[in-house]
Amino acid sequence: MGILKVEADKAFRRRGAWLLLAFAAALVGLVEYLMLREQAPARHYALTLLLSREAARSLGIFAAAILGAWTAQEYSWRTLALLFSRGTPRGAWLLARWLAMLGSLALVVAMPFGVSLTVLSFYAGGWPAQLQTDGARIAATVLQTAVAELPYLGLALLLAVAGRSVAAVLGGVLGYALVLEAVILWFWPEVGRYLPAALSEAWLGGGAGLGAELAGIVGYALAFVALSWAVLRRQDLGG
Amino acid sequence: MVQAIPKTQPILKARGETVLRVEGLSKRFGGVLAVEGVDLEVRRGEIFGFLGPNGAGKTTTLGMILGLVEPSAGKVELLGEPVRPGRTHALRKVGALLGAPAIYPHLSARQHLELIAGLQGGVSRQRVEEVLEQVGIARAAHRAAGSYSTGMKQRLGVAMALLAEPELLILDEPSNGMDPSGMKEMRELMRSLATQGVTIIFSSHILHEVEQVCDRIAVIHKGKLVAQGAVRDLLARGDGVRVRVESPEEAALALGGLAERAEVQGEYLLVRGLEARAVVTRLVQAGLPPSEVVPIEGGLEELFLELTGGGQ
Repeated sequence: MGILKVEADKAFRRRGAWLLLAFAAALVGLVEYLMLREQAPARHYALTLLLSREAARSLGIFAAAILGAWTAQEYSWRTLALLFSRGTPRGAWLLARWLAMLGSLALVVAMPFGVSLTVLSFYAGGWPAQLQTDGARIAATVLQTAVAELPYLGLALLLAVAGRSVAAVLGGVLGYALVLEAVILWFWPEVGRYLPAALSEAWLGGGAGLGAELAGIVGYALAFVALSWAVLRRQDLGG
Repeated sequence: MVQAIPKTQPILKARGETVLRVEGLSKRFGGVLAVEGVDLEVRRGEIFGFLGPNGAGKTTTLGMILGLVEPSAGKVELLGEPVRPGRTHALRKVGALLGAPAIYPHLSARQHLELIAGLQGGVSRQRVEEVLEQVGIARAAHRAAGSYSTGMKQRLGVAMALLAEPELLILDEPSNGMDPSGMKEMRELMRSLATQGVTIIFSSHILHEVEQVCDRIAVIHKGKLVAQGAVRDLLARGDGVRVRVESPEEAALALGGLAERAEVQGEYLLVRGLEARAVVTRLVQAGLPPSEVVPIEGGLEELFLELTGGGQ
């Protein structure tokens, strides 16, 4: 439990993280405000949910890359050696770091829903009536969107542990998610349908069922975490 | 100011028992054998100097002792428990500062100590404040560590190593970046901790500092241990005599086989491993009476340079 608290403290004591989150929230709020101004009130609620989901997905990928980069910083700062030389089990650290990353990702994914609905409430002079019946569904959407980002978070962790470099993580995660996946999906759709982007799209579009898509998404994430463990457990950290 | 504050829980264990035993330790990085068959034994309560030129394998060896680097061969036993990467319970009783201090630039010194306290457990808030005072960074404890000078970062590294009242303290170049008074305070702190039963493994390039504080030393060169023993015994190896003779080359030949080493230095001959009286007697017998005889006490620097071939 000690290491979990340490990792949570480290994550949430980053002033830069809060500034980035605040900047992203301001951006989402501005887009929501401008979008609602141009649309008929009847469409506001549906548009708000659509914008929230799309913003959450995009921000989730960037968040995964940044969280991975912060993990890689532990190598350049040599702070991993600081933790392990005090007898902290490597597996416990990896698990705690993964959980801290999950918590941070959940916060980032939930933020656009909170901000957009708040802007809508200011716009409409009160919270939308649909929230009373839709609250659980929105919460499920937030959870679904966070789960859909897990493969990218796992990839970020693997690149951080194996590459030990901020540039490798940022380049690797963003390059894969924004370029490589799109290229494969375009040129080799039969291969692309098994990649995280296509699986997430299918899963988010098909409701919250426990289908093959969800198994694929979770499988990717677990495989990346397991590979990270395989690299870390015998990794030389001296010098 | 680095202060020696009495520990709240003195270590009441037998001095002289083995705290660290290293046997046949080797590490290969690809085709490079960085450490080869190193054996070390460190006893409770002693200050053990671990010396070697840059790239000799010191940090790799210390990394293996701390479970950060997996040995290619050999074993490390720390406080009776084998060390291996992954998990070693005994490491909870070890404080270490390995190379430049590892710090989170965005956290303050106090937050660093709280973080270590949370990790190790059983460390009170009072102990955190006590250690901040002890290493002399209490007044800057609220500032982000990224803004600290090299010396202050070093003090923070020492504070983190001391926090959990370790039985074994491993300090790799602890006075790096410190001013002379800080270096003196660090030596006093080490001596004070050793009297309380804390075992210290200390690595430094400042050899007179090592000579002043260490009970025993080991010297590593090109990955191999080239000397290990009590400082006094090793320094005695460097004792010798410098004689001025008309023909130092002939004098060196005359002493051949008797002295451990005879080295011509201009019109002088430096002789090691032979007492002054024996040197003079031999040279007089050979018809080369010296005009000047100066006994020389070996220093750690000379010994170090001799063992490491000039530090190369």
